[in-house]
Amino acid sequence: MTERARFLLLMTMLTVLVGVLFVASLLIGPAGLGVSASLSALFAADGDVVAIVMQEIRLPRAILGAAIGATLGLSGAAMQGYLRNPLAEPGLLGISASASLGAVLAIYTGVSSVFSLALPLMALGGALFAVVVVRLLAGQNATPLSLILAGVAVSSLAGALTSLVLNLSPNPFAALEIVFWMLGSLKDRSMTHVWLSLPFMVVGWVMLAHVARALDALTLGEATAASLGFRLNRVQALVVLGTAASVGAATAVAGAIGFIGLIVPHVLRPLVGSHPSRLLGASALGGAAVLLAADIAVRVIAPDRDLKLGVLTALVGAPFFLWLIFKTRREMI
Amino acid sequence: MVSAVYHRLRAVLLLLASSVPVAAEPPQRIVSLNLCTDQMLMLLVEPARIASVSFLAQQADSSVMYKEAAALKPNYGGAEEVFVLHPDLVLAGTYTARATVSILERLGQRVEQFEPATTLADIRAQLLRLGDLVEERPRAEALVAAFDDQVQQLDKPQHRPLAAFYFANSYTTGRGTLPSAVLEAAGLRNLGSELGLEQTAALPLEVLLTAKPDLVVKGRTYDRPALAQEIFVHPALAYLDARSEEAVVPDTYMVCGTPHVLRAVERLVDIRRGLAPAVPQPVATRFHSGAMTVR
Repeated sequence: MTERARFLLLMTMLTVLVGVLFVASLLIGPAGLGVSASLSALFAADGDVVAIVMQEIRLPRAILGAAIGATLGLSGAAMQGYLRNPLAEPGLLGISASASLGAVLAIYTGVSSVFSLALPLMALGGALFAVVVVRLLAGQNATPLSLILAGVAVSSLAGALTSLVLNLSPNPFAALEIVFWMLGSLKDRSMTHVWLSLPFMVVGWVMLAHVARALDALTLGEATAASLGFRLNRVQALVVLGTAASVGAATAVAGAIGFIGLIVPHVLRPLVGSHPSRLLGASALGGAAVLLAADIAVRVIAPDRDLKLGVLTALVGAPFFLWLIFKTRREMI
Repeated sequence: MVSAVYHRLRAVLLLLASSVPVAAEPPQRIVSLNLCTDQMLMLLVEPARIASVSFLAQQADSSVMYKEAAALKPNYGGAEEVFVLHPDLVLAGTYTARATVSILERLGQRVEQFEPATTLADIRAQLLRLGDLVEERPRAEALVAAFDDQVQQLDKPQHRPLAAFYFANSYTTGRGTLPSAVLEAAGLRNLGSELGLEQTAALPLEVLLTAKPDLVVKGRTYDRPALAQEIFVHPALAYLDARSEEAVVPDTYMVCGTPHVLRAVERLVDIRRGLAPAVPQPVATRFHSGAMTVR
């Protein structure tokens, strides 16, 4: 089997997996509806209760699960490829935490209730701020270690400010929602949230997809990539803006979900060969599958406890992160 | 060291306490630490006999009698602030200011505790009990008689529509709660009770929709936003007759077991009469099984 055929097979399998998990996500819920009844209700036009549950409650949850997972996988792969750094990931670099801060400012100050697009836009602003700051803090030729340290600093600051804003809110529920913004959840999201975030995520995906060939060239070094005709400023702008737009919008409606952008590209990298361009699409599908699976798991493990997604992703992701550090520590020091 | 200081402090405080005249006559310096005992007390005794009520009693968003409470001295439930008032009777709820209550009891204060009322019968019993404590039995009996009279006049409808409270973060109220008793008294069935939920319990939006209640009373919305309140504007809720609590009955009328709950009952009776006559339908049992475990 040629390398290309193997890649196509992998993509097919991942697509099927995402499809299966998407349907499974639609079928799981506290109302315990029948399989065929609920799937046909998905396309029913009347206002039957089952149709409302499927179309207004479960469908947005499944769509957001797939789209946000794809965002995290894709942006993780793009950042690892662009920074040529195995530990780059929106969560670890503080991009998700800063997007959360932007979203929290938009919601709890009441700005988003006046102008609803303020929510994704301010989250995008937070994410953009983090990417730029991390890049500046870590310097141009950042080692993995300095990049992670910059990310830790940005994450901590954004997390502290998020807590501060929520603690100062006069609404008695706000302080309890710190957990949502730090760990993420898809509970009771609606189509409103899909329409608010999906367009920004799609724009981000398109931008990140545009850098695929450049990422391949960058494996040969910046000078070679430039000599091959890639404008590196443009590549950097696309990676930064694409990540900020997609991760910002994803975080604005679901909170910060960590580690998916770290694990998925690492698991898939050996399967796609050494092509960062191929890793992008595969990681997007892989991320969607992982987040859909995590969102199914939180509903099955603790149906009435609103377990946060970040709890599950960190339980798997943090040990994986430690293992990665162990593996790469020689080059880090 | 710490215990030595404590013992000395205790001795001083006990000395102070003993200088207060022992209540041989009806209590004249009554302190209440709990919003519900505050309101019962204000119904039963003259303001001159009330040394202090909780600060919550003065707030319009928690107390029905905030106007009556405005002239009284507020307390924040601290042992020290209560002690310096030299009360001859302290009223507390069984769940409020636990530390304060235990300190006051160790200091020899007379503290009377009241369980949260969860039924209309509790309201009668508590009024009579407090009436005895403050030696205002006739006044308590008059209040109870008026209360019974009003309860008697409530109609008992043949068709009892299904209603649900739906609070922030998708919580509802089940069996053994005052709001549930209020719904029942108003001739409505409580969805939370029929689903077998106890106390305040999670009610997923899906389950609320599939139960098809005739009326949903959405919880209070604070001015300042929070995600907890986003559930009230979820598009799926638009398919039900969901009304905001502010438009139906403020929860201040259902927080405490006082005769004021009848205002909430009357309001809900009016709303029940205005509901579209529906075919009675039991809550479908298939929603009990499977993924949802009921706490």
